[in-house]
Amino acid sequence: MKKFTCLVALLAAYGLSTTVAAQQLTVKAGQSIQDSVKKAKDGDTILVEPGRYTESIYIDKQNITLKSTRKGGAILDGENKRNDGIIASGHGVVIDGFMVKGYKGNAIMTQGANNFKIINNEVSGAFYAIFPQFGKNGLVQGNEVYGCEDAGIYVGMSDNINVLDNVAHGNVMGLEFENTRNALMAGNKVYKNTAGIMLSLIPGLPVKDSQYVVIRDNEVYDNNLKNFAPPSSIAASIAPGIGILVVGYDDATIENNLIKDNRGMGIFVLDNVTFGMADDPKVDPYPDNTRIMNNTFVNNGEKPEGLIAEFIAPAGRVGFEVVTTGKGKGSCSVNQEGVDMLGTNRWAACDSSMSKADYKTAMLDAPVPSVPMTAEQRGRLTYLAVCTGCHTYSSVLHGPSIQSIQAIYGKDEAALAKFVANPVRKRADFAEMPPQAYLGDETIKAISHYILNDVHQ
Amino acid sequence: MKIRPPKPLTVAALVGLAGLLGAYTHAQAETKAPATTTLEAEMQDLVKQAAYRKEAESLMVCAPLKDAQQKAAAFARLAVMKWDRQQMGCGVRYGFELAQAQPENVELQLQVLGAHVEYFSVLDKSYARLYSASPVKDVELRLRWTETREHSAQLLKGLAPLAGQVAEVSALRGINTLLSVQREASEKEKLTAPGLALGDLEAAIKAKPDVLDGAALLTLGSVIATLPEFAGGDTERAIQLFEQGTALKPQNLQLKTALVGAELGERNNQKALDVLREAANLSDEGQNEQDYADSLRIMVGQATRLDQRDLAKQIDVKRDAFLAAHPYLDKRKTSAAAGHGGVDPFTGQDPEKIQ
Repeated sequence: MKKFTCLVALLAAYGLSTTVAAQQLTVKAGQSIQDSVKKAKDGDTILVEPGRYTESIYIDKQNITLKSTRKGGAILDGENKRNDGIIASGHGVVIDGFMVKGYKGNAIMTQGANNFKIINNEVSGAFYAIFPQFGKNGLVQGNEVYGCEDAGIYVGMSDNINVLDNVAHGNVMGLEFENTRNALMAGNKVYKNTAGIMLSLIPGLPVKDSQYVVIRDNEVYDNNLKNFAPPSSIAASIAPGIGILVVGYDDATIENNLIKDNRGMGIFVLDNVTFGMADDPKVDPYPDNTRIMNNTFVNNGEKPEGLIAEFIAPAGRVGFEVVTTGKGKGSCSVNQEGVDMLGTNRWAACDSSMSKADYKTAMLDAPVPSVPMTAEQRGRLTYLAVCTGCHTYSSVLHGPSIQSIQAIYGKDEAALAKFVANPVRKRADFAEMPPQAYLGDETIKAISHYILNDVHQ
Repeated sequence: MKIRPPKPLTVAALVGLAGLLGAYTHAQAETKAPATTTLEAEMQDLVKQAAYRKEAESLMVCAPLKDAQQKAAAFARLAVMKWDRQQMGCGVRYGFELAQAQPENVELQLQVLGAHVEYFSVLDKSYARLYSASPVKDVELRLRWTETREHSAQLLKGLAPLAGQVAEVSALRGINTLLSVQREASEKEKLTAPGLALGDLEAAIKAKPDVLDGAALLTLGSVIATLPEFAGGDTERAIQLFEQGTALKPQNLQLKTALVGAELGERNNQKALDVLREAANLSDEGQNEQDYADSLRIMVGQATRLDQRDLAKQIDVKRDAFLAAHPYLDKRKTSAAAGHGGVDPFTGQDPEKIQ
């Protein structure tokens, strides 16, 4: 009996106890998915039948499964006027099998949610197609993303994430890990983006490092698309023609990928200083311990254009598969015949024991436990999970810096809360801030207090 | 011919030299919104631009001075006022007029050119980094930059015959090549400037290691620390240059902070900390007040990076005290409004005064 009690306690701690009473709800064409989410209890499954659904869906309950009964049959359409498709802040959410199109901001986003699964969706035309932010232990698998003004799949400030078997094309960046630790990107097909895969360390965010990622067995080819990100966005700085771009990231292992026909270079490893990132004294701007193991390089770097051409001009020729600025420490590569590398004089030869070819998962063995939060903690978490998706402390990611916001509002939390709930556009060359009213008055109040009183670099 | 060196050149802008290579980001981030295409809108835009320009020019007016003595005095007094771009701008302009009237005075030419180079650094910090500034300020900065660049080019043209003979000329030409393209220049100019400048700087240092009070060593080291390896970048050599500079000019705070930065880049954290502690103990004697305050700000960041919170606090307190004693300095307290001189981009008010 004692053992059984322990098991119940353990399940409760991991947020699984509710699954015992889980129910199944069905949404038919013409009905509202959000209405079903409102009716659902923690652990329920919502099955969505084929049809066109013109709404935004917010999920703040635990362990909700939202599933299209036929893959791609349930179409979420933002009609080019809504910002968000699905936003989930509840842990353990599963979003499965939707076609999501016509949203201006985030098509599918998790905000501070752990143990999530975003699988088998087709997403087009958003700023970010799939955007897990500040979460732990998540899976993004089997999705197709295209036409995004930033990254197709963008994992921000998260830990223990798998991004597997997705297809990304026609985006500014196909796939991106940003300030994310312990993550695996494998089996993805990434083509015809401006840059294929980006690993970035963005300064001014609460998470100050990016490290321990494995990029293996991906196909990364023909990423030469003209950049179409909004001018104010940091994504606008990405030059076309890069297969895999590593900026400031530590401990990235790149192995067994097919990297082909990227005109600028196959892999570009550079530091934040060279990239022109803002200074953050708590961020180490240099990419250390990059490991470029056996990859298949075909015809990269043959036609660098614009800034990339100017940048590598001192080398006196083109055709480099790998280019680095040479500022990193502890990096290595496997010497492959016919693979031209530039800037790697200080790199060593990788040892075969460093191979991550058999690295199967970055996810945890057990779900991350749910922890109750105070209002203050919720404000902080929401800031981390929502606001930092677009705002850094001292520079422009997409929106103005937190310092700017602090300067504008001073101690007027009510005014900031009002703006957050229903923002208006202030700068034509900046992305439009989406309304955050869905977060609720209490949470917005807590965020406003946190931003104006407690956020420091 | 014996040439007296110009006034000490500190070139605080070298801290921002990385921007030359960060062209990928900055160039496009500063791209303006697409222009309206209708003729009517364009005409309205032209009318607006003319009005902005007129207002900007009114901000750049300097009191007319009659004789050379007055101009020399004004140049000496105003051209060091790095906390006030208008006053400094007038000082630099008086200097240029003086130099044009005395083309045979090489010492004066060098001093005035040095002031122009310093002015680039001041203007660079005045540009908006996060938002476009007000249209008038935008036009004003562009006008100031263009004028300074044209004038420095004219001064250099006059000094060109001395480039191989006088270390100061080579050094100033190299530094000018780098700094003058930080703004209002094509990306190609920005990317090629380091390569063009290196030869001048190497030659100047070879002829006279402490030329321009260590500014050439500081510049060359900063460039070499920043450039990619394949373009001549070499952090270890940059450290050697900074060490050479600090040995020659032990009171030069900017050389010390540059050395700390380079040691950090090589992850030599203990060495970086040792130098930072030395730097923290330097006094402001003989240093430009604005440069000193700005260097302390950088040092707070370096101490933070080294996870030395007590040291960071100690330097921060020292900086606060220095700013309190010199209330006219630009506090650069709000880097978010970087270059707005503390003025908020939305409201036009000083953030500290917003209620």
